[in-house]
Amino acid sequence: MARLGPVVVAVALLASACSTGGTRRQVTVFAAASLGDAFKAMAKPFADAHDNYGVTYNFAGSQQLVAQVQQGAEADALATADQATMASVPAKDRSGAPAVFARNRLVIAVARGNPKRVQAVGDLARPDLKVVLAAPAVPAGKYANQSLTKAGVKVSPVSLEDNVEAVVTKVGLGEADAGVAYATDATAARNVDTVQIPDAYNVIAEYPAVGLNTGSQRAGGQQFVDFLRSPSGQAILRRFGFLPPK
Amino acid sequence: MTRRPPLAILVLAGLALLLLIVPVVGLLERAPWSQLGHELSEPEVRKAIGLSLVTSLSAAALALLLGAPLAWVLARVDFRGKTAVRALALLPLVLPPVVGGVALLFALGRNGLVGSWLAHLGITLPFTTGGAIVAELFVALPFAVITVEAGVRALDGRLEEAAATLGAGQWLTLRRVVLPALAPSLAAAAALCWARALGEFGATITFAGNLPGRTQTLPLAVYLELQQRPGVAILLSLVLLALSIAVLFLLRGRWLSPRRA
Amino acid sequence: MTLRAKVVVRRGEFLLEVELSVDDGEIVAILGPNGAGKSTLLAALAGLLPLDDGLVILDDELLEDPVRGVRLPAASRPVGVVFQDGRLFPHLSVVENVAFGLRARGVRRADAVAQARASLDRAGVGDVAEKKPTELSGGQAQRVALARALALTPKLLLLDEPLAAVDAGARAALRREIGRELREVGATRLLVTHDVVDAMALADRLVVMEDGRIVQEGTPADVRRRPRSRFAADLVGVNLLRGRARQGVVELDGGGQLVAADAPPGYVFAVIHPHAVALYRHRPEGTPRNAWPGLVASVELVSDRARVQVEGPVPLVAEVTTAAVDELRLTEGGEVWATVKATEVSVYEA
Repeated sequence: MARLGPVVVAVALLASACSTGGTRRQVTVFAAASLGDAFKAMAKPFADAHDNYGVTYNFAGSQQLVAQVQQGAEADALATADQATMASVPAKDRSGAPAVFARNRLVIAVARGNPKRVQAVGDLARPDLKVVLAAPAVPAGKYANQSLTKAGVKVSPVSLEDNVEAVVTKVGLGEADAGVAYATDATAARNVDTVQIPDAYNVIAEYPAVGLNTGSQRAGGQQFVDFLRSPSGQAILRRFGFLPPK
Repeated sequence: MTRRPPLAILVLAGLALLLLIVPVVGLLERAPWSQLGHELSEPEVRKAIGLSLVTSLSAAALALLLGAPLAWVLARVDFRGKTAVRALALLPLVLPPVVGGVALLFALGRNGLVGSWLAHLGITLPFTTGGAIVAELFVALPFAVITVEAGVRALDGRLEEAAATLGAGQWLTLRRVVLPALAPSLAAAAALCWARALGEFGATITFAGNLPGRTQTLPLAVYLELQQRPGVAILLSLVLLALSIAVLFLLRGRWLSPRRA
Repeated sequence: MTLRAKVVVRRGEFLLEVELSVDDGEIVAILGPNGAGKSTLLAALAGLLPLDDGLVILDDELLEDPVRGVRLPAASRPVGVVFQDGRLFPHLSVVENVAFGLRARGVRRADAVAQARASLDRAGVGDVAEKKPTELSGGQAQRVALARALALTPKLLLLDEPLAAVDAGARAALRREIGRELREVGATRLLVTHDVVDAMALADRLVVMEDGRIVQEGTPADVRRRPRSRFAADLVGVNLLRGRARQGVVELDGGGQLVAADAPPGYVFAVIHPHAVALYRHRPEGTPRNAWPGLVASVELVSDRARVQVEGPVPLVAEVTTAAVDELRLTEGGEVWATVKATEVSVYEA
C-alpha cells in the first residue's frame, strides 16, 4: 500500500502538467450577442492557427459586457456592437486601442413570405402592424431609432426587447409582424425574410474589438483580435453577413 | 428554551445572515438618495411601479384562485397519474423563465395552440398587460400549489367529520370549517405568489415584451436602466426591496408553521 | 327511539361484524380493548364509514342498507356524535360552535344562538359561551361538545370515549355531569369506552367487544360477576380460565386440571379471585387439590399488598401480603406453587 503513494503523486503531477503545458489554454472573449454565430464558427479555425489556444465566449448585450468588465470580470478580448459602448471601457483595462473589424447594416425582418406585405421603411408606421425593436439602451435599438428618424418614420413598437436576437425570434415565431435588426441576425434566423433599408436611411454599425488585460491570457486575447482582421477571420465574417471594415 | 445552540450552527447562521445582509447594505450605500424624490416622480418609474403592482397582485390572486383547487385535488383525491400532475404543477419552478416565456408563446401566442383560438375571439396576450399577468401567473402558480397542498394535508379531516355529523353539507363545510382552517396557508401562499410575481423577469419580457406603461414591470425597468443610469436602477431595486420587506412582514410568524388553534 | 343495527365492515385484514340493538331509554356502553373495533362501529353508525354489509335502522327509519344501495350520508342522519377529542371548531366561539348545526339546518342566526345558549346552560357551561375553544379546560370542552351535539336533538347520540381526554382530577366530576345529562336526554345513547369505571357508572347495559366481535352482553353486574373474555376479566381484576368440565373437574384449555365445588358440564369459564390464590415455595401437603407449579413473572406492590403474576401451565395472578412476598422470598424468575381451594372457584357455562 505504501508503494501507491509515489505513484499517485506522479500521476497527479503529470495530470497538472498536461492541463497547463501540453494542451490548450483558454482565451476568454466577451462579444456582443449579434457576433454569436460568427464567433463560434471562428473557434476552431483560430485554435488550428494558434494551437495553444481554445476560446471561451461570453455573449451578451454590449452594455452588459462592459458593465461586467467594469465590475472586474476577467476577459482577454472584447468585441462590441458600437464604438460608444467600447469607449466606456476604462483605458487601464484595455491593452491597446480598439479597431473596427466588421460592420453591419440594419434590415427589416419579416415573417417568411412577407405575409403582411412590408415593402419599405415607411410601412413600419402602419397601424395594423406589430413592430418590435430593440430597446434604446441596446446598440441595435439605438441605431434603429436613428435610422427611423432619418427616414422620418414614426413607429409605435409593441415591445422594446433587451437584445436584438429576441427581435428576430419574435418575428420568426409570428408574434410580431416586423422588426428592425441586423442583417446578420436576419440571415441566421429561420422563418425570416428581409426587406432592405436604403443606405440613405441606414445606420451602419461598426464593430470594434480590443484585447483586454483583465484576464489571464493577454497574449491570446491580442492574437484573437488580430485573427478577426486576418483574411481567414474576415472570410468567416463575410459568410455570416457582416460587411468588411472600411 | 434558552439553551444556546452549538457554535458551528451559530457560525453558519451568521454567514447566511451576512450573505443576505451585505448585498442589501451595498444597495443602501450606493443609492443616490438625494435623487430619490426626483426619480420616483419620473413618469417611466411611476409607470413601472404602478404596472408591477397591478400585474403582481392580479397574478397572485389568480394563482390562488387556480392553485388552491388544484392543491385540494392533489391532497384529497386519488387518481392515476397523480405523480405526473404534481410534477407538471411544479414545472414552472424548474423551467428557466425565458424558456417558460417561449413555451407560453407556443401555447398562447398569435399562432399558438390555444392562442390562435383566442385570436379569433379577439383576445391577444403577447405585448399586453394581460400577457404580463399571465407570465407572472405561470411562475407563481407552483408556489400556490405547494403551500396550499401542505395546508390541506395538515387538515386531518377530523373537523370535517365533526361538521358532517352536525348536518353540514360539503359546501358549507368548505366555507365555514375548511377555509378558516386553511387561512394561514392561503395567506402564506398569497404572499409567496406575490413576491415571485413581483420579481419575474424572463418570462415577462419573452411573452409579454417590454413597453413602458404596458408591459415594462419593475424588474424589466431595473434591468434596462442598469445599462444607462445605474443610480436609477439602484433606486428601483430599493423599491423592489421595500415591497419584498412588506411581503416578509405579512408572512411574519407564519413562515413555517401555520397557526393552529 | 330504537336502534337496530348489523354492522359489517372490512378494513384490510380486520373484520368488524356486530349485531346490536339499543332500546328506547337505554344507555349502552361498548367496552373493549384497543383495536376491538369500537370506534369503527361508532363511525359506521354515524355514517362516516360505509358498511360492507348489514343494516342500520333507527326508529323504523332505514339509514343504511348496502345490499339495496341505501346509504344516508352522515349529514342527513339524525345522529349526534361527541368525539374523543371534542373537535370544537377552533376559529368559532363556544356559542357559535353549538349554533353551527342549527345554522346548517337553516335556522336564523338569532334563533340559533338562543337555542345554543339554552343547550349550553343545560350542560352547565353557559358561562363560557363567548370563549374560544382553546381557552377551555378539557372538561369544559367535552361538555360544550355534548351541548353542540344535543342542540340538534338527535335520535341517536354516540359518544366516543368522552372522558378519555380529560385528566384524572376532573374525570370524576365530569363523569357525574355527563351521567346526569345523558339520563335527561330523550335519545338513544350509545357510548364507547375502554374504561370500566365509566362504563359501570354511566351505562344500563354493557357490550364487550374483542377483535371485531361481541364477546359478551349484559348489565354491569352480570359482566362483573361472570366475565366472558380476558378483557372483561382484566377489567374486573379476576383470573379467567377456560376449559371443559366433567363431574366437577375442569380440563383447562392450556393444560392442567381444576377442581371446582360445582361446575355445569360442558365448555365453561372459571373465575378465581386473586386473593383466593395462595403461594408456596414447595408443593404443599394437605387438602388443596388445585396446585400448580409456575415461575414468578412479576411482582407488583400496591400499597400493603402485592400482585404476583405466575406463569405456567395455569397462569394466575395472586394477591398476597407484602410480608408473604418477603417470607417466600418471591423474586422474578423464581419457582413457586400456586393453590386454590375448590370452593373459591366460580364456574359458569361459556
